[in-house]
Amino acid sequence: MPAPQDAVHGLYRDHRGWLDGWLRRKVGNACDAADLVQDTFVRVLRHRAELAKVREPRAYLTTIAKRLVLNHYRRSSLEQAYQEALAAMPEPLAPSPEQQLLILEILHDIDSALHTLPARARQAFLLAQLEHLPYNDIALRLQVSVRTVQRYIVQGYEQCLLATA
Amino acid sequence: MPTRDSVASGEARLNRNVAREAARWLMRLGSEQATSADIRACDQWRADNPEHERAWQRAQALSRAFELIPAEVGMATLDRPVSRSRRTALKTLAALLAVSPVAWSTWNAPPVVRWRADYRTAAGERREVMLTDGSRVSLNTATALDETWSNAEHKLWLREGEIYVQASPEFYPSLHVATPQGTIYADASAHFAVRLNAQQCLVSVAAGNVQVLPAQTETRGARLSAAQQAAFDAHTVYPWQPADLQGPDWLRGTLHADAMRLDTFAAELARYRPGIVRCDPAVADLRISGTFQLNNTDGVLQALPALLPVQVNYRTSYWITLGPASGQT
Repeated sequence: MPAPQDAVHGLYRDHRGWLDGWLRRKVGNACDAADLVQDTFVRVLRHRAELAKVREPRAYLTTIAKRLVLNHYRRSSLEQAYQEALAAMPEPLAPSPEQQLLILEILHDIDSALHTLPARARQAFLLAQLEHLPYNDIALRLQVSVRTVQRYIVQGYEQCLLATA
Repeated sequence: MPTRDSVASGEARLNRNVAREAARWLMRLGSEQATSADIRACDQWRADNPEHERAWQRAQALSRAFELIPAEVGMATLDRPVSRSRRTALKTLAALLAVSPVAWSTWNAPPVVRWRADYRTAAGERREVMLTDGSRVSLNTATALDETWSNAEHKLWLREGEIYVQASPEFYPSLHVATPQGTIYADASAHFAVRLNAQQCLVSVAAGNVQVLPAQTETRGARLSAAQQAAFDAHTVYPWQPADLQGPDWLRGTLHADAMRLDTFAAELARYRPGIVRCDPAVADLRISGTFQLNNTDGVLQALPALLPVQVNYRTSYWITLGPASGQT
């Protein structure tokens, strides 16, 4: 049984090129593919203890890579919306560069936590948290009952509290 | 806010029940109607168990995080219009269609050929796969399917055969299925079947909504809702018909025939086995009804002479002809 470090090295040597080709085919963009290859191996390295159990290295790599692809696109759509929102803000109000990064991380955590919710539930929760709207107003705005809004709020909190993955 | 990598942070995930209880308290205390009795009851809940208090502290961190988000940014980012990506995709597609031979050749030069497809089944095989975004896809017999992603879309390319998709809203607001005849845009959580035939594609929706856009049309295509199915080719979506809310029969391993023509029946059966099942024109008009097990097509063929005036001729086990029973013309 090779040491985990060697196993990562072997995996990298034998499959890096293949994974790069696979990702290019999947995302149609060489730059994104190259980044995603690196991210995949960073993830492999961080969890190298798992490698001993891996029987099919390529299937293992693509499983990781697929998840990263989706996160990558989700994050880039968030960043794009964030840049647009910042650009629309009057300059004196715009956060400093450090704050901007911190806010982006927060947005990304919340975005990841809430993405499994139906759009309406997410909206209800966000209107309560961000705009501090009373449940009645949210119900009117979304054309649902107050009870439904309450259920949505509970769902939103639950997803945020559980989010760690 | 917890970090994204629980392994790195070392902080254990909260128990789901504890998270739900905490969420209920937070919702109650956030309401206009919250009373001081509610607050005391919540304090008691926190004191009951260290895990309750941990959930509470996490919620406090969450509300501090929310406070840091500028008003102009919050809804604009976290509630960004998810349909934008779909509209963009539709627009892109429309642009491609303006020069439709290009759209067509993109399809005909797929990066992947069938034996290399991401997911595939042999004749007679069926299987279900779970995609990374949580969508489930069942592949019927002799099916080849590829999966690609881009900024705007998550796309399945149906190269051959038939699939049943249970879309999941995770990551992408919609899921697209590309076929040689056009593209199907499925809403998050739509359930639908797509079957490729020689010239046409058949879509049947069991839940949710889908938009069908033929490859060579300048219209917006057609929208189908639960319990509707429609065939389409590269130019037209044909009028819809009622569809089964349970999804197609093959999901349950059966072939259901209701006064089905025998030649159609033979063609259906042939999909589930290697080789050829031919139907003599002399018996093609006969009608057959019943529910047949797809796992045992040999048994179904053997049983046919008991149901209809036909005989089954085996030239080889891969070449089978249904003809008139002897003594008939």
